[in-house]
Amino acid sequence: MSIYQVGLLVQVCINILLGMSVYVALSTRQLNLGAAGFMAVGAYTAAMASIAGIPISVSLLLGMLGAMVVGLLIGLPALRVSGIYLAMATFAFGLVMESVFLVLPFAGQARGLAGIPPIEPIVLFVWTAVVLSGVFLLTRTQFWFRVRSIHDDEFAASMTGLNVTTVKIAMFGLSGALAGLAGGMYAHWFVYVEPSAFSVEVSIFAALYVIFGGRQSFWGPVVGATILTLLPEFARGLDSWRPAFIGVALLVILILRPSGLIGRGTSLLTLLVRRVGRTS
Amino acid sequence: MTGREGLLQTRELSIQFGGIRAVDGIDFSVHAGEVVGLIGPNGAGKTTLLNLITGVYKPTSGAVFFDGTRIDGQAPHLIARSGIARTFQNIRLFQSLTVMEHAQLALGSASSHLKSAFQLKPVDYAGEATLMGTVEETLNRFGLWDQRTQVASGLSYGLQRRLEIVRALMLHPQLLLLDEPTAGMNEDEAVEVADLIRLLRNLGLGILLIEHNMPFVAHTCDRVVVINFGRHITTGLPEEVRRDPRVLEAYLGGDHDYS
Repeated sequence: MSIYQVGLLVQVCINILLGMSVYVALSTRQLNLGAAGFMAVGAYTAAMASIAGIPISVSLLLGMLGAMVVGLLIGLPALRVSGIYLAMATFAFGLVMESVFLVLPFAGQARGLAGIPPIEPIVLFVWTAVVLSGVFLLTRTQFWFRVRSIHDDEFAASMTGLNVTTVKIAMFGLSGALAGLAGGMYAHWFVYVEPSAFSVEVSIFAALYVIFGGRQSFWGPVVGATILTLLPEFARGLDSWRPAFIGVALLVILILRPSGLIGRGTSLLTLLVRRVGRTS
Repeated sequence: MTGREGLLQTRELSIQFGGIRAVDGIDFSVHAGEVVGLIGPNGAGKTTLLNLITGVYKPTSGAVFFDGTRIDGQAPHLIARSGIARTFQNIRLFQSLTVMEHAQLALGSASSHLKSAFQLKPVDYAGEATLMGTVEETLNRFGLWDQRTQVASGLSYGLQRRLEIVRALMLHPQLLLLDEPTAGMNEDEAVEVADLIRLLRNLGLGILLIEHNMPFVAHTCDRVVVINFGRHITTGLPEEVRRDPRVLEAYLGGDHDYS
């Protein structure tokens, strides 16, 4: 693989994790439009840890934990708001984090943080695979039925003895952790971070991966992030029409399949089998 | 309290929304093995009363006792786990979950099953014990076993109402609150539900049900509590209550000459 291809794959991994961050929160009907904020926490935490001489994998873990703690803290007040208001609150959180890292003296301010030790691509891929497998297994447990029951009817779920509050906060913590890992990976791959890397655009795209790929299945954000990351590369010939092309592609999917490419209950395998069956 | 204390007992229970006393000083009880009908005109405060019992609302004043313990002010999920299960006036099933998933979800909420929540090996819930034998037997009794792999949104209306009751039963409740369990059902379906309710009573459950269908109330309830404008009007046997002028007045409006 060329450096270019490896770089693309790294970007796909980071974006899948960002999409997964939005997906797990959305599974309890909480739209997190602040993924970039959690990503920034993970990136700066991991970067500063590594610069201080801590091994990269431990730094990534610290970044994840840091972003998870922030996620839990955001999750608590977020319980008081829902729907569009929660989405706006998380969006505001993302904006705040971008400025926080712009002014924090020990985070390099606008100059950013340089001299972050580089990560081996293979280490990054293994981390992604392990963490995604963990999330996948989680969606195959009894616990996930509870998550889905909250998604379907929060009130009825509490009346069946489920502690809705705890589950919702936990899912926000997980959401933070996943975006935090994406941030740590980003920092160690580009060996340099600056606040503008965690703009609201990153948060919006993270949500788009899920909306595009499908918000009812684990494979939704995986497929969504992969396609939306690779599509611009294939559309290079379109030159300055690229953003418009991607926008139109998004619109077409949203009109044809409002719940995203992959629906509930469709596993990636059945999707592939169906496709093969149709072409043969 | 006296020896006549019930499984569920409310004392001077009141809640105020703005200037309106939706529930105003209500005292009533439900005993184990008893079906109590809660009736009253629309807006009388019946569903509000259920919401007070299940912890959705905190009372402005007064208290709710369940099995001798004061429960008002507790979190709804803890009240549910302590043995009070309910159904809803407007069906509130988990639309994307199957019949079996509803059953195992509610079973899993009982704390003894919390450990298994993160277990990957599929657990066979069909053989788990419920108040009515196993899960399989319960689903069979409610005519839902054959539909166990169907999602809730695909069930017929009558089956959805039954699934609400099944989901409530999976909590191993001592007290069951049914909010218009036969709303929208035809007569045959209502009779079947009445049979199921009496079966549950004979298993020792206390049941409080809100109903507008008076023949159904007369048929299933041991006692009827009538409320209007949030106030307790009367309590009595179904046939007594039906002839009570105060009840007629509540339903038909005042100043009528019933002679």
